Amino acid sequence: MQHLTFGGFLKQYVRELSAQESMRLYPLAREAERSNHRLREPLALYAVFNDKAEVLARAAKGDWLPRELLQMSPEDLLGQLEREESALPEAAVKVYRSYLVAASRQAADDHSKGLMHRRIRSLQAEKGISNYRLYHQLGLNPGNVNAYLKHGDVSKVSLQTARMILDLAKRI
Amino acid sequence: MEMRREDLQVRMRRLDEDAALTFESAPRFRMLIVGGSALVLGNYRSRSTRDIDVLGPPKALVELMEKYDFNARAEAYNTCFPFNFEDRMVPLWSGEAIDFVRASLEDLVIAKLCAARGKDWEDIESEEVLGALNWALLDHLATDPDEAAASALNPSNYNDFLLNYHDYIKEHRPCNI
Repeated sequence: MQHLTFGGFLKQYVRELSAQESMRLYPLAREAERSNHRLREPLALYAVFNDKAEVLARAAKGDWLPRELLQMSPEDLLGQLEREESALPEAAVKVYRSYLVAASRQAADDHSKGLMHRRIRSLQAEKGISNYRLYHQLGLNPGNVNAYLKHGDVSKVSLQTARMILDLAKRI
Repeated sequence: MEMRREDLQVRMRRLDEDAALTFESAPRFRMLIVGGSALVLGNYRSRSTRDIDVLGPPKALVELMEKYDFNARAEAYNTCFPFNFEDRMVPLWSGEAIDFVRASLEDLVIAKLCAARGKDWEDIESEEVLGALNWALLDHLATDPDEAAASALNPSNYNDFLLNYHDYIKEHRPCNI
């Protein structure tokens, strides 16, 4: 799975927030100033992390732009965003937190599969359900299911598959 | 609108699923959603929102909440909600472990008039919100001494809120109300 960079996330996020069809900074800056406050910090961060800080600084009229963000290097900005008590605007810190969640999607899925594994094993012990019965009844790959159930290898099944196994174990 | 609501709903289901697996024998949890995501989930706004603001989250769920971008730090806005807002909470969805509810539209508007950031005005001045408001209830929450006034940090804060409220109704309340 391709690693999601902060710069890449910011590009997606600005696109989501904006009414513009394109990523051209001048129209985005106008939109952020006039009608879309939510766009401001993400746009400023996007500019820094995609090497467009100078362009945005020229594009932005008025004092809406959080210029203190534009004046920092990506490395310094990242260092600030990662701090527990950051001095940066809360709106910027929230964007970074959202990025961390998006970048950790796989880890969140693995955590859920781990929780399901524990519950499935408990139900198997309680009801005497074999691995064979689970993978056979669901038509699943025996090797993968055994690796998941015996060894807790969450990489061997998808979240949906883990859910199917758990649902069946509950119903038996 | 549907895709953005759907994304929030998927995250609610994921959080509920993890909570049910983590706290098997626990009593049910209640999760009160506020802010922009409450407006999206209530079908009043059709915009993107990433984090989901939660007021007074159960402490046991805070760590799980962070995995799905639920913001447990919305407490700062507690004093922006009318005192009895919990009487008007609206059910959203009940999962295996969590009952998700949201603040009422009028309570959300009062809170946003109190916070009064640019993005809050954009939300409450949208056509969808203005078209759905119960203006009589809004006025009650804004002016009754047992509601917004009772929650305000101090009289000066309440006066600032009232100025925003009067600007809001002057600009947007329909004439026949």
